[in-house]
Amino acid sequence: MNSMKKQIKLSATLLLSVLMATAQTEQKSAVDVVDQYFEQLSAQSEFLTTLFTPEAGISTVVYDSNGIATQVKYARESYLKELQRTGEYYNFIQEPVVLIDRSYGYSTSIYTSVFMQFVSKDGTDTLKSKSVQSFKLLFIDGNWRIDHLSIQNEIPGTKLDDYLWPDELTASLSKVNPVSAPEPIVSLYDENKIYSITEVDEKPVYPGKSSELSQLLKKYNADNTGENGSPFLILISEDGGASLYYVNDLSGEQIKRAQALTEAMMPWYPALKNKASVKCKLKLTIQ
Amino acid sequence: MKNVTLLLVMLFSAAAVSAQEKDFSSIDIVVKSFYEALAQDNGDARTQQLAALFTKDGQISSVNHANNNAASIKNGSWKTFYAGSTSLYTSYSLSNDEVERTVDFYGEIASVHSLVYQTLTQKTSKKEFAQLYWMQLDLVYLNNRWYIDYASWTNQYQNVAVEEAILSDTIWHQLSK
Repeated sequence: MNSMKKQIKLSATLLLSVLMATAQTEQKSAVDVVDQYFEQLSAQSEFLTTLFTPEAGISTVVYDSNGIATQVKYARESYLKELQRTGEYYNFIQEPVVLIDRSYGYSTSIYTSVFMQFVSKDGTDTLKSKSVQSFKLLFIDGNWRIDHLSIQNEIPGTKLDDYLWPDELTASLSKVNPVSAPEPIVSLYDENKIYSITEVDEKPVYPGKSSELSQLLKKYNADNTGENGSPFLILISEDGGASLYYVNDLSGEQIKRAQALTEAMMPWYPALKNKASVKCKLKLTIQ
Repeated sequence: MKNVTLLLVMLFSAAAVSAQEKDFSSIDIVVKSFYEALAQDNGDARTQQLAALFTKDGQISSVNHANNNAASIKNGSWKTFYAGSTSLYTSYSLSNDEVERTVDFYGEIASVHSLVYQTLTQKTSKKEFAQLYWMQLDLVYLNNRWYIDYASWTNQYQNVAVEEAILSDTIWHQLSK
């Protein structure tokens, strides 16, 4: 009897060791957990909730018919229910595109662009979209878990930054979109649109020698290399006039200097799109 | 005595009103106000200031690394978190000095990463303890102002430079579709 007990004990110990070894070899990184989250979204199974901490919050921004933004916040269980409700009408997938990963010790942050596709259950309707999502993960009890997720779906007319949506990765997406409009034979430009420099045929050019712009920027402690200081955007209109467009999180003093800088600028040669002058935004930084 | 009480009530109300009326339309103001609130010694005023900054269901997490590869992690609602932190403020006064900041944002959301030099001063001995932290804030822009929806901080451990947290790895994901 004793030897049988011993054998059972030994087998149990062996089994436990094997299980522990398996668990250790299967330990996932924070990026793996985020990957797993996206893989599990379309299944909408209970397993999805295990990727979150019990205290986790999932925040999404929604807009009413007047364009006013409100926040909807879910606990992990109510988020799963919301996904299941969507799953009743659509098959959907979400895939991360570019992940910006910051990590230290037991804490990780992943800021990512996401490609989303919703196909109605009867297959007649396909919707493709993008979003930006911010994940905060904690390493708890030997596993990475999502403690907070913040979701901002694509806003029409507000382009994702190029580093989050690089052509090299995303060019194929427009080709496979069954609902996208065919390319017009003659390309047109939108006179109301504010283009980024990657969208125009000719970028705006500051008149005179290139050193003149550098000197002017230096005078206001600003920079156009994108490396030093806080970012902000200026708008170069069709007639070459420069104005402050978006001040991001500049301080009051920085905004005054950025304003003075745009006022001190000579008229630019405006950006060109299909041989027409168009509005274009430029990113500068200021100390 | 009544006068003193009245004066305290008035001062407290003024602090609360000023926190509520503060212009939080820029990320910079919200981040700076958060550090000011953390350093606020008066418990009621601190709660008022934090309430003005956080969303209703705002969250906090803190990761305190020890030097033996272990860490103590607390997470949950900001209200519960601060309700449990009064003993720290009883013994220490606290100051924060933000030394570096980076911001990612799109639409109504922003993700802020800062390196913060935090100094704790023991109230009885005046002894100072300083540590560098990685501070993360997820913000949301609603009703013409920014709110904090998630705050998280992580301390430096075993001489592994916490500055590394600010450096990002960019991963391109190959799309299957």
